[in-house]
Amino acid sequence: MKKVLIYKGYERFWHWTQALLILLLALTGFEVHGTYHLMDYDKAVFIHQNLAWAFMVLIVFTQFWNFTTGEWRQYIPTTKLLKAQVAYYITGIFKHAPHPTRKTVYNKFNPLQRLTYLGLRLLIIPVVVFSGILYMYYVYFVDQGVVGDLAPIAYFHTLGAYLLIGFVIAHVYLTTTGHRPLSAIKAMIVGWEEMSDEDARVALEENLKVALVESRKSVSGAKEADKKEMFEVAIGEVAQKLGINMEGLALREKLLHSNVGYFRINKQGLYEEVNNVWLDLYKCTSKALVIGSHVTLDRTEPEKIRIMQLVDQVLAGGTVTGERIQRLCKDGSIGYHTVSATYYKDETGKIAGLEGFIIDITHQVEAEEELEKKISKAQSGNDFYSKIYRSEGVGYFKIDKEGFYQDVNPTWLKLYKFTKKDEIVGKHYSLSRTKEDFIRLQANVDKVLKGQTIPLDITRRFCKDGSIGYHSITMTPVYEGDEITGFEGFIVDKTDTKLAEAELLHQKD
Amino acid sequence: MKKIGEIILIVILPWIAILTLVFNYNSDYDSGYFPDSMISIKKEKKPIDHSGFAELNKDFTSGTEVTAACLSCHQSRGEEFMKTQHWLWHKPDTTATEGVQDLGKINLLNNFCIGINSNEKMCSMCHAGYGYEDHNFDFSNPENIDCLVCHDATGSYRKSKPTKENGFRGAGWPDLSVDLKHVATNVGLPKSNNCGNCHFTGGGGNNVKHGDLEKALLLEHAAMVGQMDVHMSSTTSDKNLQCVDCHQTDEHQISGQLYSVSSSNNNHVTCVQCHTDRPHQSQLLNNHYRRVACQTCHISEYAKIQPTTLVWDWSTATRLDENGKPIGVTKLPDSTYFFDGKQYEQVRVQYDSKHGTLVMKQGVIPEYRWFNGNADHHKLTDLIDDTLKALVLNPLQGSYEDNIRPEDPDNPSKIIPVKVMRGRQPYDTKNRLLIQPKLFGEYKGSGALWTDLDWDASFTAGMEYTGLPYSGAYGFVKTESYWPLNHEVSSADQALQCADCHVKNTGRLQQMAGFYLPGRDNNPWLDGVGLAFIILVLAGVSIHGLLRIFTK
Repeated sequence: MKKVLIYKGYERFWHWTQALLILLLALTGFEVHGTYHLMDYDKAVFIHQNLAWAFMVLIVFTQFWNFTTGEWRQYIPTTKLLKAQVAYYITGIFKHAPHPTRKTVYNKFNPLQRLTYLGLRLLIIPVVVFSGILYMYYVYFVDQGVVGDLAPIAYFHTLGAYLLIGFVIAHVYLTTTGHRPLSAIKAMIVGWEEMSDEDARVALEENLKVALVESRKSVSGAKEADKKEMFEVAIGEVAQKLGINMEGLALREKLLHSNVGYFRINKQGLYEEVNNVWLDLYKCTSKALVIGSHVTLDRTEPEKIRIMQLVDQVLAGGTVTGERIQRLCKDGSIGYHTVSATYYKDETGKIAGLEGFIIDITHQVEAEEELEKKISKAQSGNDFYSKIYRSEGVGYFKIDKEGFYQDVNPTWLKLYKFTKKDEIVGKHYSLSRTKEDFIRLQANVDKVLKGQTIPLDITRRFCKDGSIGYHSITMTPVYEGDEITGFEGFIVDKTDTKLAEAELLHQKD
Repeated sequence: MKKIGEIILIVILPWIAILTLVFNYNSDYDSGYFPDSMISIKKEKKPIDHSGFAELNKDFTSGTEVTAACLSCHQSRGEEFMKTQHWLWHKPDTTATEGVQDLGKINLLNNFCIGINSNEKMCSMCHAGYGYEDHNFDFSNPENIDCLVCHDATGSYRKSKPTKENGFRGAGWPDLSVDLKHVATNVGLPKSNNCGNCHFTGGGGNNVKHGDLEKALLLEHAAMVGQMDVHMSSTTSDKNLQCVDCHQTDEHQISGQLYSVSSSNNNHVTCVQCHTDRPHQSQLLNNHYRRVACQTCHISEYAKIQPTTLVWDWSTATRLDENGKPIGVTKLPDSTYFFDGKQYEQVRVQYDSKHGTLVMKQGVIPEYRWFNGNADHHKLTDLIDDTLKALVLNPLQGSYEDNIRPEDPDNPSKIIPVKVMRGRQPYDTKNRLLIQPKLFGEYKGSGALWTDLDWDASFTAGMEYTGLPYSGAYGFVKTESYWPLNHEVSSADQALQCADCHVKNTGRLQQMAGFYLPGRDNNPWLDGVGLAFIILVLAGVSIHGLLRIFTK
């Protein structure tokens, strides 16, 4: 089971606030209507009016949010799969058929939901709100001759209330049709929805596809001057939609100028478009040299077969995520990156090629290779130390048995935003961690001190300036003779890499 | 940990904020709120001590001599007073449908003692003059004015009662027991008891007629100090108002009118003149004023101490007992009485041969009507259209529609509390006129009902006096008259609460049709369909859910 980010913070705030407001409005509203007697009539009236105002303010904020974020598109009704969705609720659900549609951050609602929520937003809520305003200020409106009898106003208001209650009942019930009965409600609270592995995979593919489409738009945009800006916006949106914590402009700049390369390849396997980052990674000076060349050109022999397999896989309608790829740069050097790619279609709807991101991992691969060498040579760490120490891509650290830093390299200092080695050497490694992070790390340190080599997935660091970064850690013991005197290892910055599909999968703690 | 923090931030905190705001924020405060403490009452200046004036220190033999003495100083006051209704008992007034009419006791009938014509000797006990015993009374002689009945500050002045066996000095004259010199040297501004001498006792006794004007309103009578009317009978002097503090007076014209004899929407004494139209902190309550008169909520009941007459059935009068003797007054307390489809609970039903059946009640809940300030009147000369249904003697104009499509935007109808006086009274079945009977006579054979117990003789005498025809064929017709309630204002905590009207079936405004009242009204069809819809949804999800469990 996986978890996928579906609901953003504002959405969750809006949803639960609205839920509270609607329930209290119904409670006080039917008191005013005379259906039951729970509280003083005036109390019910005044609370109902206050709630009404809160509700209207929330609507204004939410519609503003919907329009500025483009989320309103999620409410565009579609008949595609509508029948399938209805059929699913009528029959499929009892036969344990799969959901005909999948929830993603870009497509939260199934066609039936789209239709219902649009109806709510355009019909029922406006009827309730406008009849409510007329009801609340009836004396003023009637003096102005705007309205006549109160009765029809009250009837419309009541009608809307009944429809809303019916909706709430059905809505609450249908939340239980997710992966598990409480999955959907949990998701609405925490943002991440539990899904079956299959659903999660599809949802992630969808998310990635949209991210790529956005990026493609920006790279091959009509106006040359806007390209950079559009790309930046696209990246920003993607990062935001994927739930990535954007640490201000610095990270966006990094994404743009360092590690994320874009490419597009046509059906024949010929490059159609790459961005400057891509060119840099391939150490290529001119785009003209690349466009039109075949994708296998930049590969070593064994890789040529693999790359074509991936291309074929995508052209057949698949998506690849996080595949580790070797590249042959123009200067003859070898580089490594992960690639995530998906197909794109032409006007007729046929698959016209593939496109994707590449994220450089050369330094990490080099470091890993050095580590392998160190382990295979057993104990003698000098080679490892000197090579990693010079690396500009990975940060090196050495910590003694007690947990105090003994040495770090300049890259480590850069990642943690220290200026001098003196600032950290002699300090305990619990510095720059939260308690939870430290406890998790400590358990692994204990294992390393017993002789294991441990690659740790994404770990959080607090930099000197208070900002947060993410990196992977690989730790290995340091021997003096047969005795373990401490541990050393390297960290690879993954703050950028959060864009990649690996981070889409939010493994539960 | 981060997740819990997030949930607190995204869900819990907004909820707490909204609940706090929604339950505590007063969005209803009226910025134009005018608190009672800002009201200042203009008290009349202290009257001059008259005890030393030689003109008044005389042994007066009659009321007219006193009046002459008064007028010798207050020279033009006589002319001034002779223009007032307290003297003339009629005035030209604009009716709702018949234009300007000369209205007053001379040409109007009520359903208490019906009318003054031929009964003036009795009725003029409350005329501010001496000797008004028939229509030969000289309304142009200022010496006939009774100054003392209003200006007596001793409390000892009273008019002679014709019903007393001995010592009737004539219509409207001072009682024999009155020391005119003592009263004349102790005159002052009218106090509530001066007004109350007549206005409390209309209809023949304390609170019989108005229902909201009774002796208990005066401090010295108050069994419920401060509870009869917040403005009166209070031990705090600033709340112990006199009638004239509100009914302000200019040149002896006392402001205020009642629709038993008036018809146009003017000359009112209003709550607003002191309290403004925003006396509540709540905007919502202040907005009620556009549709609901202050009195509606603030006069939650009337006749708080003294029972008032609600039904007077003259048709049962003149019955004799098995010995052929008139029946004396018999009272049945705590009875239930049915009249014209209405059930009166816990009333006192009183019978005697002279008056017929009277139904009286203490602590009465008002009835409510739409009213735009204009009334019509059934005059002596008006024909009765339909003798099968109750004839309304003073139809109050107004309806909910006035507020939606106001033809006269200045006079939107408001809901007012009224005392509805019901009864049966005589009419000429051939001429279709209400009959003016002669009720009071001083001797047997005068034709008066109360001396002869003979309706036909009473009608003949009464109608002859009015100059109207009487066919000799008579019957009794149901009548109603409306007495808008303006007094016995309860304290705020006794005022009506929202749910007294905004409630299903049992509310005070249950009978008022033609408009939508939140809390009272609903569309049964809409509610039926709405409820059915919710039940269907519930049933639908229940069945769906059960099927899912079974197919698991």
